[in-house]
Amino acid sequence: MVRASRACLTAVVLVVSVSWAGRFTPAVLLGFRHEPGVETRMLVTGLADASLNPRLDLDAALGLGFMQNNGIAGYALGARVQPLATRRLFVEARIQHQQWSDWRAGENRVLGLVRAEVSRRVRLNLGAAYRVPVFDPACFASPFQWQSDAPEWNLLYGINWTFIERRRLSAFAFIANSDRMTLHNPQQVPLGLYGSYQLARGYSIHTRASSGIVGISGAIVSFSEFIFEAGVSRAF
Amino acid sequence: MRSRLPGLGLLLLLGASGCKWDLGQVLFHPTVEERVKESLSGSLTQPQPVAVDPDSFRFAVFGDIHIKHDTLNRLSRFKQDVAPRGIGFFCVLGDLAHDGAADEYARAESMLSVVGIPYYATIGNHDLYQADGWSSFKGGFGPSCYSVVIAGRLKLIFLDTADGTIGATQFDWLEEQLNDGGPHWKIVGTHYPVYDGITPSMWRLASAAERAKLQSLLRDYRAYAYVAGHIHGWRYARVAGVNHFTVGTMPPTDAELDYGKPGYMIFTFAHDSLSWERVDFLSACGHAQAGEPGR
Repeated sequence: MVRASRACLTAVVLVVSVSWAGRFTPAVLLGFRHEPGVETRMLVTGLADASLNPRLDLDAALGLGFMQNNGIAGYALGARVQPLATRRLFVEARIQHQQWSDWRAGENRVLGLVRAEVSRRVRLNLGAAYRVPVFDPACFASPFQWQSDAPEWNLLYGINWTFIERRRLSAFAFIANSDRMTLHNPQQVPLGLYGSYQLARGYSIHTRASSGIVGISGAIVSFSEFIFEAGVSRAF
Repeated sequence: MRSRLPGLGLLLLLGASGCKWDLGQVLFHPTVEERVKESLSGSLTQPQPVAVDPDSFRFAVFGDIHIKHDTLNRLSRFKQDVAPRGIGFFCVLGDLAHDGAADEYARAESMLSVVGIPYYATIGNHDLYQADGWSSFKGGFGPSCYSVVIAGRLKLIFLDTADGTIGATQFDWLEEQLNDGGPHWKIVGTHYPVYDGITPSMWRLASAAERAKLQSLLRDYRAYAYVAGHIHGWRYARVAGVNHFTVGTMPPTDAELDYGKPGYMIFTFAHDSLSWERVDFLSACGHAQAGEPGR
């Protein structure tokens, strides 16, 4: 698995360097995450999207935590391919590493999903993730640790509904248990709002507010976390 | 952390499940914070340590007895096991009352008392399905979050996870309980499990960060086991040195669907060490799986 991860990383770097011919969009986001009793921390996230050609996008993300679980919060690499002869169907693969330094715990994941734009405003995601929690204090921070006492397969799902789509402004509501950096257990049902506004040519601001639900399997439910994020991107 | 919108989406599910739920309770139930603060306030009668032989004792654990007006179950069969197996006391890990109704609690209290040995109980989600569910529970069984030290050798820590979450106050309290400096072994008992195998169901703690924090506490303070119910079947995993059990329950029939294989767990303290076994009512010898003494 370690060799496979390294080979994968090498392949991504190779593809980027060989086929670069498109658009590059870095972004930085400042976030706040509060989960009662679990953690309260600030997050600074750096993102980079690269459209290599009309059918292939790559992205990378790095998150840093402050106040609690300081240091690296996680990082991820993703690739999205639009198969030939389809205009509204995408296949996405992603590797994520998330860690909590105070608890000396981490998790490595590989995700695969299919994204379908079922209409101009509605997008559906469906897929699966293999997650590897790492509780060994000696290697919880390693992205190459793929052995665990408690590995598991999780269903991935998502629905986005774009309810505002104007020249500069767009906004959508979502229910989805994965994003670039994180994966929620399917029964946590994360939901939220995302908006972006184009300030000037190439510059946009982005914001996201989301929460999640726990207790669904017992029908005694409560909101479990609160996340707010805002930042700016620059398209080259 | 009141939750109203998500509850609305669950009403259809509850109706379909056959549970007699109370709308107000589902939408405005007392939160885990409120229950835990009341449990730790000292205002409720605190369960006391049972008297056992400090050098050797055994106790049983099961969950989800789901007592209704007409419930049949295997508590009478369990009672037959108590003397031959040397069980000194037992623990029930939530869902004592199927619909959280006062008469179900009364019946549960009566049926558990008939076993004839001391027991400890904690709360499950079904126990909160009526507006007076929490009142009935604490009236009959006391706090939902507490600890007892048995014979100075074993600390049992009971958590309230009836909402599917642990909450701020209870997390702080749990760390204090685990980090008490005592020489005793520690077992955490609660309703919601943490892990459910490589293809998990939804019947477990939902937040990945919460599970990471909980598991790190269990690992760092060397808890022997995390024992849960909720899933009505038997599960075992050893995660970072901590034994994770889902104990199963006592259905009236041999059906394995919702309830899994009927049975319970026994923990044995002897020679300054702990061991465990699963007692399966359907197996000829009664034993399904067992763990060696030690950590």
